[in-house]
Formats: sequence, structure tokens, C-alpha cells
Amino acid sequence: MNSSARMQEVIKPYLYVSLSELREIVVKPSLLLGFLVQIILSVFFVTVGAIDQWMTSEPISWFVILVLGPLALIRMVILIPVAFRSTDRFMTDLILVRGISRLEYFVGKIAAINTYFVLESLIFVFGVAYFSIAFSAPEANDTSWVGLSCAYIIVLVGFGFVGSVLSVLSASGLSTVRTVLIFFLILVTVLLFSVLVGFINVLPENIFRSYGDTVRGLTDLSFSLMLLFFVSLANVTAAYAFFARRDF
Amino acid sequence: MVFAESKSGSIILDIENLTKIVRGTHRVALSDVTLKVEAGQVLGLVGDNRTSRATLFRLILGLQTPDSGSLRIFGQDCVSKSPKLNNRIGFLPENIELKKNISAIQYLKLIAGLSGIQEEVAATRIAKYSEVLHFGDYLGTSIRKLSKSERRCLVFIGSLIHDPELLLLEEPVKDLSLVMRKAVRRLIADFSAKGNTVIISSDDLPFLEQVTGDLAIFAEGHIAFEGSLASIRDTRDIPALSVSFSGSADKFENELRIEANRGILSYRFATDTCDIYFDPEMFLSERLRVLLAIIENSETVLLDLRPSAADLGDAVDGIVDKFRETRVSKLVGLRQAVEQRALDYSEADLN
Repeated sequence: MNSSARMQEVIKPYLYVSLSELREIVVKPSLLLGFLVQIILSVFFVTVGAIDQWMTSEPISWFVILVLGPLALIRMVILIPVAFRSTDRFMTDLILVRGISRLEYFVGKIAAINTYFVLESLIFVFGVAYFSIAFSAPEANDTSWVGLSCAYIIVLVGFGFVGSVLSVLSASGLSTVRTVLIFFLILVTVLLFSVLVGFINVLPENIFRSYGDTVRGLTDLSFSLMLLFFVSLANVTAAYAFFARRDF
Repeated sequence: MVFAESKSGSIILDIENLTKIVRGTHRVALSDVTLKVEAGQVLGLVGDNRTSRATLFRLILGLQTPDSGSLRIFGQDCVSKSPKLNNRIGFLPENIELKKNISAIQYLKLIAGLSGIQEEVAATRIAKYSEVLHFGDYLGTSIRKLSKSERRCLVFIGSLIHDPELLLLEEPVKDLSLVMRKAVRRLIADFSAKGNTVIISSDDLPFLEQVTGDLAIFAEGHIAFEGSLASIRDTRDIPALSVSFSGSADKFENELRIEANRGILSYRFATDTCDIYFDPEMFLSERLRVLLAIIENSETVLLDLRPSAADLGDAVDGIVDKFRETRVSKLVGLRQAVEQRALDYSEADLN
């Protein structure tokens, strides 16, 4: 077997698991409903942004903070806590017994979930941004595409971090309900702590302004993003360590 | 123990002193289990609880790891074995959970892909097994619309699609119709005839009687007995007579009930015979006297009389009960010994 064929053999299981999971995610009714809600709200934000010139560069900020973030969070809570649960008989009895290693399954599944969120958020963030700019008056249009790309990376890293925390909880063997409860407990504790130490300014206009500044390319968050990325990576590694050692 | 009926002699599954405690519940699922299964063997697993048998399957498949002892499958240790080894095993679980948004054929193609089978080969095998299991008409149907028995058939086909050498089946005929049961029976016979190995965990003893040559009986996490069906029946020391008669079955049964206090332990009506189980202490002449009294009083005519084979279910129950009694008496003896030792020590201290 030459190296190319061997490479194909190595990649094939990951790809198979990933594609089958992706297909399963895409047709999930609850996620389809979320997708529909997001389309309706995107149209609303684009329309409002185009009508009110003062909001020309803001729809994307408003959209990410009010729509994309919360809806993505809800979908992650639907999707990830059940991803590695012990009671998933399909995963254990029909996939893991078929010569698919736990690493192949874990990576394939994580890749499928991440691909779904990346593609979906990519469509919405840049769709809303493009149509907002296209429909608004030129003099009010101050959105920087570089800034917008940075903002999009912030969104992705944020999603990735949330997803990684949920993955650790799910892979550790907790039940779905416990995973969700503990996740929200962590979320509330971290938010309260951040507000108390002044790390987060809870005033909405400050949140929108800081995000708007990022969209316009005025803020550099590279260090925070790198930190968050590496913490997420550590979380996912821990999730796999749990998953690989568990009894099913 | 290696079963006498084994065909090729190569050991597929080699378990030694295996112990497994279920995490979370801390229940002892397997305790000091030793078992060897050879290629070509059809082995049935029965016993007092399903946890032991299910845990054994999950250990074989690498879904769990043993707490102590060893389990070697195809010569490889279950802890360090490659996951690819599972490609040589087919598994039919008792509780089936499927993705419901896809059709049966999509599911089978997905499973074939995961097992690394080429599409053409997969298509041929799907057609072959669908025909045997009368599943052809349902291939295009959404899994959501399939009944329990149809889903079981679907997963059965999925467990055979990669042409495994070892088949692990949990309750393979649960929810199946008589026609389907027959088809499954034929499939298992064909599979083992090729030299492949089948291990079936089931509480359906009549089915096991038809397809397996050997049984391993679990009791409280241990293997209480293992051997051929005949050797299991031989452990049942209650003599039984199979009676064939003409006349009123109701009257006959009434008389059996009256005589039940005089040495008849139990009875069971089959299609045209009645198996009567006597107290083992009774002499043959006594048994015949009781039987003739029943015939006379019920005004029936005796057509045939022969020794009956012991009921497999009764034999299995007897083995499990005996095993429990032995363990209890051992534990009581152990406790008494410990108490006596403690008493000796305290007396020695006083002196």
C-alpha cells in the first residue's frame, strides 16, 4: 500500500464519522427551527440597519450580541451534552463496536459540531454585514472588513470555548441534565465574578460599543483570544481523556 | 473448560479469572469468570441476571475494561487490542437505538462505510441478508416507521454486513414473529457452519435449545455451570415421565392436582403429551401406581408412556439455586469461622 492510499485509510474513519454526524446535526428539527429563527432575525437586523442610517455599522454588533450568541449557546446546549453521554446506544453499540477507535469517533464528532457552527455563523455574520453595507447610505458606512473578520474570530473562539466546557462535562460521564445544570452554574458564577472584579462592564451600550469598536478595527484582542483558544484546546484534550477511559 | 463439540480447535475467546465491578452502581457483574470459546462453537449464555452477560459482551467489544483477570479475543488482550479487531466481530444489542431520520438502506450503507466495506460488496451482502430475513420490502422505509422487530432485523443485517468471524447476539429473537425466528435460526446455523463462532445471550431457552450446542450459566456474576445441553439436563435429578393419553385433559389435570400431594412435584402439558415430574425419592413402582390411579380416576386411556427428558429451564433453575445455596452455606461457614477465631483471640487475651 503506498503512502497516499495509507493516508486515505487513516483519514477515512474520521471523515465517515464526521460526515454522518454532520448530516445528523443538519436535519435535527430543533436546530432547523433555530436556523429559521436566525434567518428571520437576520432579515430584521439588515432592514433596520438599512433604514436607520445611524445604525449602519451597528446591525452586525446587535445581531451577534442579541441573536447569534444566544441562539448558538442554545444550540450548543442542545447538541453537545448529548454528544458523549453514556446512554447513547447508537454511539456505543453501533459505532464504537465497528473498528472505529474512540479517538476517531471523538475527533470526528467534535469536527462535525465545529464545522456546523463555523459554516452557520460564517453565513450569518458575513451575510448580515454584507447586506447592511450594501443597503445603507455610503456616508454612514464605516464597517471595516478586517475588523469584521477579527470580530468573527472572536465569535468563533467564544463559541469554541463554550463548546469545550460543555464537551468536558459531557465526556466526563455526567447525565445530560447534570451537564446542562453544571454548565449554567459555571456560566453564572464566572459572569458574576467577572462583573464583581470589573472585567466585564454590564452596561449594554458599553458591550455594544466595545464590539462595534472591534468591528471597525479599533481594538486589538489578540492576546485574550490566544489565551481563550489554548484554554479551549486544553478543555478538549481533557474531554478526550475522560472519553477514552470511560466504561460504556 | 473447552467444550467437547468445538470444531477447529483454535481458541477465539480466552477469559481467565475475569472480574468486573460496574462503575457507579458498584455491582459485581462478573466475578472470577473463566471461559474458553473455540472457533465454530455456538454458545448460549443464560443466567439469573442480564448484567453479567451484557458486561461480558461489552468487555469483549472494548467498551469496558476489566478490573482484574484477563480477556483475550482472537489472541489479543482486550485492553491493548487494536479497535480494528472489532471488524471481526458482529454485535446485535438487546436495546436498539437508531438514528431515525434516515432510511434502512442509508443506515446499512453508513454502517458498511464505518466498517470500511466497498459499496458493491456492501450492496451484495445487504441484498443477500435482506432476502434471508424477509427485509427487502423495508429497505427504503424510514427507520422512524419501522416496528421493533423490523428494527431488530435491520441491526441484525448490520451486524453481518462486514462478514464477521464472531457474532455476539443479545436476545436475537426478541419481538420476532415465528417466521422471522425460523429465518434467524437458519442464519445462525449457516453462519456457524462456515466455522464462525456465535455467542448468544438470551432468556429464551426454547430458542437456545434449537440453535446452541453448549450453555454457560451465570449466577451472581459467576459461571455456575458450563457444558453441553445434555450435560445440563443430566444435572436435573428429578425423574419425569412423558404420558400420552386419550380422553378429557381437564379430568386428567384435576386428578394430577389431587395426586400432587402424593409425590408429583410438577407437570407440564405439551401438544399431545403430559410431562409429570415425580419426587426423586419415589420408586418406579410407586410412580407407576400413582399414574395408573390418575388414569383410572380421570377415565382416560393410556396410549404411551416413556421417560421424559428433563426440562432445560428446570435444569438451569436447579443449577442456579444449587449454586446460590452452596455460596450461602460457604459464606455462613466463613462467618462462623471468623466469629470462632475472634472468640479464640478474646479468650487468649483474657488468659
